[in-house]
Amino acid sequence: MESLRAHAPFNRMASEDLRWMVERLALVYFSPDSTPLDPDAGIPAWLYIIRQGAIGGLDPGSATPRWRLTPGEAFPIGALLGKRPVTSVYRSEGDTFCWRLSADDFALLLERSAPLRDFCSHRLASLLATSRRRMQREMSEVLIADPLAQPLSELLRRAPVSCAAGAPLTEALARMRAARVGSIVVADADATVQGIFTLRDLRDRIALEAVDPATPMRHVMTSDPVCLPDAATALQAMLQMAEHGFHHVVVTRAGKLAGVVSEGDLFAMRRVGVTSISEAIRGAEDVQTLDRVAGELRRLAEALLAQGVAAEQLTRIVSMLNDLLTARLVQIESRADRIDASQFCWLALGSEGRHEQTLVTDQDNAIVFREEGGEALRERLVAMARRVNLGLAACGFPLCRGEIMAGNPRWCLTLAEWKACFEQWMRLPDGEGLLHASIFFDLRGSWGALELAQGLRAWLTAGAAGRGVFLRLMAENALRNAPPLGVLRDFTLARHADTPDSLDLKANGVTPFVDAARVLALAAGVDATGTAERLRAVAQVRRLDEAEVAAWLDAFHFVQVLRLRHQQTQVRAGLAPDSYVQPEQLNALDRRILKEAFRQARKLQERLRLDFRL
Amino acid sequence: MGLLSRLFARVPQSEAARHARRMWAQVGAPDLEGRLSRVRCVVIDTETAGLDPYRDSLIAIGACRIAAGAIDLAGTFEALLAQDVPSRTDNVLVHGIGHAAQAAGIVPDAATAGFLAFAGREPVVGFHTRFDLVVLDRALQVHLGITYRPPYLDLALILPALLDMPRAAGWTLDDWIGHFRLQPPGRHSALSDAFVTAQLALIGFARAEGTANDGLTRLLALQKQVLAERIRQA
Repeated sequence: MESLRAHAPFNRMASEDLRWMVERLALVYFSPDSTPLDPDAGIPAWLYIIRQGAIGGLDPGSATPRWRLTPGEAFPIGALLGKRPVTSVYRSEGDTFCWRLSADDFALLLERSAPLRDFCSHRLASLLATSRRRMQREMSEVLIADPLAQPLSELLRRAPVSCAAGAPLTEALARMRAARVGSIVVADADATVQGIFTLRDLRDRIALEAVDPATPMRHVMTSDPVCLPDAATALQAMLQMAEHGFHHVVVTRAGKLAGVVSEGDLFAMRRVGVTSISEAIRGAEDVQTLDRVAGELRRLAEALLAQGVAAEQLTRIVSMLNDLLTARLVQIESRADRIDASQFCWLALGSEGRHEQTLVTDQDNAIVFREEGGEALRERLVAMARRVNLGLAACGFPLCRGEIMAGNPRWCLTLAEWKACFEQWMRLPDGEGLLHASIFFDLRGSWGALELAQGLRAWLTAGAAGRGVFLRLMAENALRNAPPLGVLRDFTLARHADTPDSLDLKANGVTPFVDAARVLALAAGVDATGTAERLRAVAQVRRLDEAEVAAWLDAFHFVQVLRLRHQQTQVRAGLAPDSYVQPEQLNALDRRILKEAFRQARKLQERLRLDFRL
Repeated sequence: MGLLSRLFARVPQSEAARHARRMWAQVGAPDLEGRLSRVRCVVIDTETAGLDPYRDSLIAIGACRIAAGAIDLAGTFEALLAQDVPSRTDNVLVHGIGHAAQAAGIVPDAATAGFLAFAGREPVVGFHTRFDLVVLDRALQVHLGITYRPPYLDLALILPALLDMPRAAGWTLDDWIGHFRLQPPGRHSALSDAFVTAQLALIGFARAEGTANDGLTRLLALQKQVLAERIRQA
C-alpha cells in the first residue's frame, strides 16, 4: 500500500478506498517480451499497475515501442473505461511484475473514489494540477518565504552618493538633490566611511539650529554611522534601523563604501509588482536604470512563478515587460538621434514575437521603415539600432549569434523589401530561408509606426496559406525535432558538450509545439503569433476537437513552466540559465507529466503528418 | 522429537486442536494435475529460534497463495507464535523479532490451526522448503496432533534447472532477489520472504509454461531428478 502511495492517483485516494483496492489486488508476472495485452484479445479483463519492470506500447505490426510505462503507472485505462479492446500491443520489457485488479472491481472503485475518477477522465489535467500545487509549495519555501533573507548586495540600486568631510553643506545638499536621494555618505578619497547625513538631519540640526550653509560636512554629519557588510541580510538591516531609530544603513564591501539601503528600499521589496516595474521602465532615462529594472523584472518573474501563475500568463508578462523595456530603449536612442517615430517600426521576432520569452532570451529583432526615408534613413536607423542592441545586451539580453538584429543592415528594410524577402523564402525555400521564416514569421511590431508591422503581418497571413510547397517543407522541418520517447532511460538525451546526459527542454519539448503551431497557423490563414493563440485559432477555423487542443496547450505550458523553473534554479545558483535538465533530477510526478507532454507533442506532429501527407 | 516419543505423546486436547483435527479430516486431497497457469498452491516461509529444524522452536509463519498465475494480496497468512522461552539472542539478529514481540505472539495452537485452515492440503512451495516443513510438521504435531506432509516444491532445487542456470545451484534467497531485482515488501519477516519466494515461483512457472515441465507433477518429477543428481554428486 505504501509503495502505491508514492504515485498519482493513489496518493490522492482516501485511505479506505486504497485499502479496498489493495485487498482486491493480485500480483502477476510477465516474462521479458511477453504480451499482456493486444488488440485481438477483446475487452480487457484487468487493470494493471506496474510494480517492477516496464511495459512498452507498440503499433500492431511494429517492432519499436511508441511509449513506455514504468512502476506506478496503470493500464489500460482508456480501454477499460470505453469497454473496448486496446489499440496497441503491450509488451513487457525485462522481468515485469504488475498488480492486477479485475475490471469489475475497477468499475466499483471508480464509483467509490472521486480522485481516481478525476484522474482517469482527465489524466493530464489532474497530473498538472498536482504538479502545480507541489511546485508552488517548493518555490514558496525556498524563495518567497522571506524576502528579507536577501543579501543587501542585491538591494543596492545605485552607486552611492557621497562627498568629502571638508565639503560645505550646500554642496552636499546640491548633490542629494541632483541624485534625488535622502542621504549622503561622507567618505574620504579611498572610500572609507566617515559619516552620514540625511534629510532628517537637515531638518533637526540645520534648519532648527540655523546652521551656516557653508559649514563643512564633518561638523554636521553623524559620525561613525552603523555600517553593514553587503553580505548581511535585509532583515539585519531592518533590525538595525528599528533598534537605532534611523532610516538609512551604510553598506560596505571589503570595508569600503558600497552604497546605502534606506527603509524605503526594504519596504519596496515587498511590493515589487508589474505596475511598479512598468512605471520604472517608462520613467527610465538611460541604460543603467533599465538594467536595474531588468533585474527587478527577473525577480518579479520568480515571484510570479512561485505564486503558481500559469505559464502562458507568466511568459506573457515577462514578454510584455521585456517589450516595454526594449521600446523604452528604442525611444531613448531614437530621440537622441532625432529619428521620427512615425518613420519606422521596431519588430520583435522569435520568442519575443510570440510573447513566449523565458529567462534566457537572445535578441531577435528587426526594423521596417518607410520607403520615403530612403538610404539616408536606413543608415541612421542602423546606427541607432546598434546602440539599442548593445544596450539590450547590457540589460541581460545577449546579442543574437545569428546576427538577426535590427543593427544588422540586412534586417533593416522597407515594407517592400521585406515583402520581397519573404516572397523569396516562400517561393524558393532552401535551408536558410526556412530557418529565417521560422524566426521572422513570428514577427510583431513592438514600438514606433505599428501599422507598418501590421501591414507586413497581414500581407504574410494572406499570402502564406496558398504556398503548398513552402508549407510542406516547413512541416517537414517541424517534424525534425521529435519529442523523446517515454521515460528516463529512453529520453533522447542531448549530446551537449557541457551538459552530458541532459534533456533539451527547448529543442525537444517546446520547439515541436511552436513549429507545428506556426505551420498550422500559416496554412489556416491565422494571424496570431503566440503558440497557444495560434493553436486555439486553428482549432476554431478547422473545427478540431476542443479537448485535444486543450491537451496540447496544457502540455506545451507544462514544458514551459518546467523550463522556467529550471532556469530560475540556475539563476539562483549563480549559473547561466539554459534549457538542459537531467531527467533523473526531476521528481517522479514531473517525469510522468513530461512524458505525457511529449506524447501530446507527438500527437500534434501526427496531425501535421496527416495534413501534409508526410 | 523422535518416532517413539511421537507415538507415545499425548494427543493435544485444546479446543483449537480438536476443532483443527475435525476440519482436517474433511479437507480433500489436492489436485496436482493440470497446467501451471491453473495451479493453486501455498508459498511458505518460517522463522525459527535456531538453525536446527528438529529441535528449535517455531517463531513465525508467513504464507501466501498462488492461484491461476497470480499472488492474491487478500489471501495471505502471517502469525507470530507466543514463546514460553524466548529464543537465543543471536537469532534475534537474523530475523529481527525481539523477545517482547515473541512473547506477545498468538498462542501456538491458534496460530498453527490458523495456518492449517489457510493452507489446507494444497501443495507447498518454498525456498529450502524441507526445512520449513519439518518445523511446521513438528509444531502441528505438538499443538494440534496433526501430521502435516504436503507435496512440496523447493525453488532452491528446481529454479536453476528451470531457468537453465547451473551456476545458481547454491544461491541463497537473497542472491535470487538480487538477480531479479525483486522488491520484498519488508525485510526478513516470514510473510515478506514468502511473498518474494512466491514472486520467484511465478518467474519459474512462467518459464516452464508450454514446455515439458508445464505441470505440478512434472515439476515434482524434475525436483526428484535434481535431488538424485545432487546425491550422486555428493
